[in-house]
Amino acid sequence: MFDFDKLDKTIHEKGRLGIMTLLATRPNWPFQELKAELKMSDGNLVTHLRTLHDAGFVAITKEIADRPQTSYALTTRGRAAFQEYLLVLEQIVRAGKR
Amino acid sequence: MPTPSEAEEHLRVIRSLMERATVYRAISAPAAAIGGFLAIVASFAFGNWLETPGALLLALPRSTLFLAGGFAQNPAGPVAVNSAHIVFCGLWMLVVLAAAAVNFGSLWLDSRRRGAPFASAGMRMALRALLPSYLFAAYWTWLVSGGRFAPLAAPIWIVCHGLALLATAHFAPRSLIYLGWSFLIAGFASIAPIASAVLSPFSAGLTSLREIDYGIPVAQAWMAMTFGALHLIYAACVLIRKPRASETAVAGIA
Repeated sequence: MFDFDKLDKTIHEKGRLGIMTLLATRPNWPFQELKAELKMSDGNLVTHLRTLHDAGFVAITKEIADRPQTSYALTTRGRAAFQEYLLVLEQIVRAGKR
Repeated sequence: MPTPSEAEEHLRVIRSLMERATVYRAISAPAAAIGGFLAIVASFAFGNWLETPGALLLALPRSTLFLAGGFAQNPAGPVAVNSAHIVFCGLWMLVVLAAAAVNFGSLWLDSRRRGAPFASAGMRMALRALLPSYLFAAYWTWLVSGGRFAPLAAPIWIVCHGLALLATAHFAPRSLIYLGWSFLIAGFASIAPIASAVLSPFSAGLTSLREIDYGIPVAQAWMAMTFGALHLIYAACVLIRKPRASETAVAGIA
């Protein structure tokens, strides 16, 4: 029998799922690009990113070139958690088709 | 606990977001439409190539308007032919610059609408992929401009544009890949008469494009059919395409 508790609740929330998905596509994402792609407000995005950072899924890099820029990237743990999350989703879909 | 349909929905959102984040359309549809229109207009700058015998069929023999269209009858002779070739190359460089400016303008407007930076990672990736082919085409144009081989700039630009678009294949939308292949196939066809004249074992070499009847009207016809018509078809296909269900599902994230 499939264990549904394996589903990571931190990632499962739709906003955070979007963030994790985008972070999985490129080595790092500047805050502005994440915001534009997900069409989230600054506050909403910062809150979700902080939650993911606290869970150890997201690394934050702050740079000051012409102006301060904050970039986000998946940590090794975050990538593994995202892959695990995808596997669990696939298992749920497969279980529903049986 | 999520139901299977909720899980499917989540997977659909993930897939669509991943596609959207990794896909970059280097040529916007409005820019393709304007560029295509400009190319069609420019292709008639040396007269109506549609009335030129053989222009559409790679210039069959006995084409009388062949080298420089109206300039061929110019009493000024060879000098006038050269100036026609310079005008030919200059005209198309202007069209390229105008189309590129419209494209960058359109991409800038799109990035502003989405609140994303103009020089995004996608654009930088696209430029890195596109530039080598365009650099070669520009170099070739510089070499042949003003000489009797100036019309050869047309097939080279057609091939290079196709190769440039195909160089973006790993992050381009499918429509742009189809456009790249269309250009490449047209490029092969446009260069075939020249290649066969030069490479044939029975050929004594090519000293003039007159030998194979490949003049400005033929080059203009190819430019109209490729940079004109193909871009217009591409723009029409992109503009009338309906968003897929998975794309609308992403909107639920915001």
